[in-house]
Amino acid sequence: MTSKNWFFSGLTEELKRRLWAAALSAMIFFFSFPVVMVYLTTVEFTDGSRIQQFSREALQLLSCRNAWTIFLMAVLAALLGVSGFSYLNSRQKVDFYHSLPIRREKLFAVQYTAGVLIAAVPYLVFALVSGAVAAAANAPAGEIFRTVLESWAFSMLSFLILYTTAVIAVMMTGNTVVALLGLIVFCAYVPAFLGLWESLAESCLDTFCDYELLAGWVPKTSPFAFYISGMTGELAAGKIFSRLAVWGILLLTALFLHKKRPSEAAGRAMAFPVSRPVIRILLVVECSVAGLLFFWVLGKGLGWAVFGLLAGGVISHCVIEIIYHFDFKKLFSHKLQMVFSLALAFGFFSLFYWDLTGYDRWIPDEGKLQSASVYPTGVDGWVDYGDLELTGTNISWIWTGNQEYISENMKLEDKALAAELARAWNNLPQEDTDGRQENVYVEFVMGGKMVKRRYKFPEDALLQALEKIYADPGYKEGRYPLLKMEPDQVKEVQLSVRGRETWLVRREAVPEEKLGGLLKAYQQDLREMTLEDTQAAPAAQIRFLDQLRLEAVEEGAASYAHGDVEYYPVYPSFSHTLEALQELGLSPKQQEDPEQIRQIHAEVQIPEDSPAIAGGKEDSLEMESWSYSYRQYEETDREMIRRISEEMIYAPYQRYQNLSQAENGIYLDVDFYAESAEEAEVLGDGDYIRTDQDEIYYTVRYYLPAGELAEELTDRAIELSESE
Amino acid sequence: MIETVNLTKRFDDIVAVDHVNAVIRDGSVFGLVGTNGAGKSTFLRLLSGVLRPDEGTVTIDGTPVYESEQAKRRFFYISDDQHFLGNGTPADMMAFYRKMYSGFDTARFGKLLESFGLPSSRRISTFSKGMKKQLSVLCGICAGTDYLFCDETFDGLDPVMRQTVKSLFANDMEERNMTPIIASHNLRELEDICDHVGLLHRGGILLSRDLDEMKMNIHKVQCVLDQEKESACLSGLEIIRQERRGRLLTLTVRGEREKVEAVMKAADPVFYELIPLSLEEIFISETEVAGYDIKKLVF
Repeated sequence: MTSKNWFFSGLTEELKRRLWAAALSAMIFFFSFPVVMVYLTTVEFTDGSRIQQFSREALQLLSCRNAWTIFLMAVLAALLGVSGFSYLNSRQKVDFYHSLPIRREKLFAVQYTAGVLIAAVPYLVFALVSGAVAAAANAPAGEIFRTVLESWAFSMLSFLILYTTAVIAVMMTGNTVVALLGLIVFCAYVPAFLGLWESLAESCLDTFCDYELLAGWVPKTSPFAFYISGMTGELAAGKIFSRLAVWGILLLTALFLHKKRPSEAAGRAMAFPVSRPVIRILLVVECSVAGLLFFWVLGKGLGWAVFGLLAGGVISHCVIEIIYHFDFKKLFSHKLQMVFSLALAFGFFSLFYWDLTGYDRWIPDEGKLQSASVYPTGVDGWVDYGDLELTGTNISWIWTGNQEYISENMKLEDKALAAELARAWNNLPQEDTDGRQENVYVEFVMGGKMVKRRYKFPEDALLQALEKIYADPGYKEGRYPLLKMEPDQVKEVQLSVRGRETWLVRREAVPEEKLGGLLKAYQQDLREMTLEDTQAAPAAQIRFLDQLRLEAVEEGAASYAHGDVEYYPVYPSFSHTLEALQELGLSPKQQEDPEQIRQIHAEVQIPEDSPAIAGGKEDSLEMESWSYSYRQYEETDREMIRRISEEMIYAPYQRYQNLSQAENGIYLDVDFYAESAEEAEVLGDGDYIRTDQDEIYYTVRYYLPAGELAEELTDRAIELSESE
Repeated sequence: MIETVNLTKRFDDIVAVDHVNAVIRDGSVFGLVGTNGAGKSTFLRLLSGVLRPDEGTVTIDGTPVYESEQAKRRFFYISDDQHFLGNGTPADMMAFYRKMYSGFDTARFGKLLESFGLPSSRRISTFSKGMKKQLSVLCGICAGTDYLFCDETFDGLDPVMRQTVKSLFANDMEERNMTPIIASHNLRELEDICDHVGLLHRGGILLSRDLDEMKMNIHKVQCVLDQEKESACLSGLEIIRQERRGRLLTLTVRGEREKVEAVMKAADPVFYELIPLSLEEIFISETEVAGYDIKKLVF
């Protein structure tokens, strides 16, 4: 180009050429920002201050986290990236542009910048106009314009990643439709592959559970996922620099490909012949595995899996060949590569199906173990993980995932126990894998790298396997957050005995300074607790409150104040706690007084048929199903009521009983007499009945564990129903 | 001077241009002929730096063309299906090319548009195929470059316009030593304009000759000879083609005109006449000598 300002001259010409895109972009941003902002100024906000509400809505509209902006920028990136360089796909245009006296790098710079400006300028202009509208409507101007500029800068940075990926897709192809398909492949190939990996691992490997590792790879391997992942959380420096670095790499790749791209690629499917077999084989392998999984799940057999592999592989190979040649008759070209791809896909499947890598059999080298944590899901499922969060005057309970908390907090003192667990699972007899099983998640840290496994144990084997682990102090410290509480933090204690709740300081007048001793006693019991202790029904449940927790309860913070969050069981074996309570003048009754029971309603479950087996083939899931009928039965016999009251367990406490066999017991609705309507209302959870004889009673749900008495009750129910 | 050395271009397993060595001298008109698929367009696209050679080089006065702004400023390439800016008008094209080529003559472009009857502000997309061809030639001529690469440029022009364009070429050659390189599948189209012709076949240059040189050195002789002296007479000529109808002998002979005439006079013929050869006839003769049937190659 003759002008010294070749860049600006070229840019002007390029923008003239792409006037349609600039107009479209301007129109979309006009309707997305100023029009919506003006509309917001007319909305009547009902709750809180109008200006506060409007400001919040305005900031949300202008934020880069606005879902519509995220979507819009993603679509614009794909559209501008593909359309801007689509001239490369036309021989006529390539002859025109590439014969001009201007180097290809300059052409690239001009066309690339034009695409960026078409998105950036209307976005900035209309966002600023919207900001001005919001400021004029009394929204805080400083915050508004800071949000506009921050969001614009970060959105554009994120846009550049997708936009440059779209440009790379054009560089690697010679046809606009194929370029769009290429962009989809760039964005979805690895996530889809990871999804298949996960599905295969889940189906074939017994101990696989490392979902986070695979999910963690998605934003690192998909430009679209990377783009989306940036929109969550704070705009930290690391996030910005990582995006700048990725953009830089992508831009250099696009520039390199533009320089190397042969002009004769225009109109072909793929610009670089060398990429054809690589991309085809990668896609065919993925489609073969997807077909295999689909038919395997559908047909439940290895034969179907092989059929799915062949169908997915052959069809995808043929489709790709047709696209590559733009000729249907070429569908069976490169048969050897097709066979190679199918073999590769089958090899990939074999790795999982026959566990060729020894994934399940792996046992960590105890000497190399840095730390280990164990999370048995069937044990202590009642423990709540999370914390209270104070936002302004609002206190809310924020949950933390069980596995997440344990992973961060648990370090077994005897690391070898975790390896022993893996060994115990490997030594399980094959027949033990049938029947009810419980998952035990184990994390081994070796050489700074975390290895996760999930071992399924039959219940009896689980008790044996967990016995030593349960006694490990590291397990308890990482499992029960209450063990981290300091005695001087305790401001109040809530004690609940089968629904009858009391506050030690406020209602029982226990001095606050004595609560620390109670906490210490409880912590000691918790540390000494054995797995066997936890199979018993607790006598009570207890909650220790620090200042924030006390405020949460007093202010009625949802889920914390009204639910059973952070309550801990008081098992009969908790002698220190029970003694401490006694010293404070509280002694929870172990059983209900049978004289207070008016009658018991039992819901008896009676099996009708023998189990029906579904499936039953090799390589398929075996399903066992029973059909039941239910009998309602009322027990008024005083002797029977007395016997039942000795064995029945308060139903909400069932969650504290580890490895409880609830399905083999009987649920009971027990009617208790109350002295007053007020008492009945509280204990009956707001519901009570007053009879014609002026008796007041309320109902509480209990549970009768499997055993002789439960069988007797079942027989009575059957007899009664037969006599009817 | 444009020079190609071992210039080769392959498209997958097809060799479109195969080790072509050619020299195009400044100030002459280089005609490139060949059948469809002979490699003419590929050769021109290589000359214009659109394609990167797989082997060999293309240089303009020693400067490689591919990705050289300096070399590319010296030519204007008119492809067989020229692209114009989207929704552009001739005026837009002029503005665009003016930025690309420092010597673009806007005044002349305006005048030529007027004389060709092409409206400067009408969208080019509404032009006929012939009008687009005319416009591309006008852009090329007004760009003021040393070389003008024309790919099937005369295809689509009516005979009057063809002559007008040829006279424009002649004018620029005269005035500023412009060198047109014209690719065509039609030999007759190039006959009255080319100084040098290259025949491309299957990617290779089968023949490359100056037209004058060829015309000076090849002649058609029609004669009736005394039968006794015939063999003695013919032995003195370098005959490349011979045809007999009764006693009338038609010979295509190589050699200088004077020498041929001297041989014929010495043979004391009953009748003899030297007839000028058309470009087509010259090519038929030359390629037959090389073992090819020109009718299969060009016509």
